Amino acid sequence: MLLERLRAIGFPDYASFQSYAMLSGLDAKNTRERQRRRPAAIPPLLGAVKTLRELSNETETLRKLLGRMTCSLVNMRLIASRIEGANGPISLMAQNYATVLGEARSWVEKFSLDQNGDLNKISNAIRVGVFDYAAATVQRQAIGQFRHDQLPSEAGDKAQEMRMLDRRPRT
Amino acid sequence: MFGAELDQADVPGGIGPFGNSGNFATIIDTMDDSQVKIEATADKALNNCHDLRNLIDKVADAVL
Repeated sequence: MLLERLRAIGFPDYASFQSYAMLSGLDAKNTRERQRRRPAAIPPLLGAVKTLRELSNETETLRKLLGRMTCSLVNMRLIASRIEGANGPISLMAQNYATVLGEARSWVEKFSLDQNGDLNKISNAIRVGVFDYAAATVQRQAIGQFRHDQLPSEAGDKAQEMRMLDRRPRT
Repeated sequence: MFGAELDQADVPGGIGPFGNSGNFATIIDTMDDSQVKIEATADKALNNCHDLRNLIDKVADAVL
């Protein structure tokens, strides 16, 4: 149900929505706290997400239009066969046109629907990029805040704790 | 019999292999219309690709 609602507003899956929501939240926070300058990467990242959504819609429209055109050509051949019999010139023209359209349609489908298609690769790269950027920014802000926090003396050595948290887990 | 079925089918605009095709003029009109839309949509998609490329370059400039 949640996924259906997300699809209705233009997000193909939850991960895409999550990336967009994180970036928008970050941008809204920056706008609210006017003391912070808006990071230069945010506007082009938001623009990329929007453009990607438009590109997905356009390719879907293109796919539908090419399919519709193929159907018109089938009609053309049916009518032509009544007038000129089988394999007349109009039928052949329609057949050739249909072959070209079929190829165009398969290129568009390969681009937009294939799991390993270019649109999916672009989409994943942008989604992961947006998420990593937003998560890294939140972490950086959190570290900055912890550095300035005044801890009670019984809380321990702040510098040592920072070093411990900064240590990367070995994989 | 088959032709009569074609003519009676209730698909507006003569679209689809079993639509009410009418005549060549209808089909050519439909194809013209589709071709104009295909060209416009393909142009938009191409522009989106260019925009995306520019935006990704900007992100790279800002982050790296």
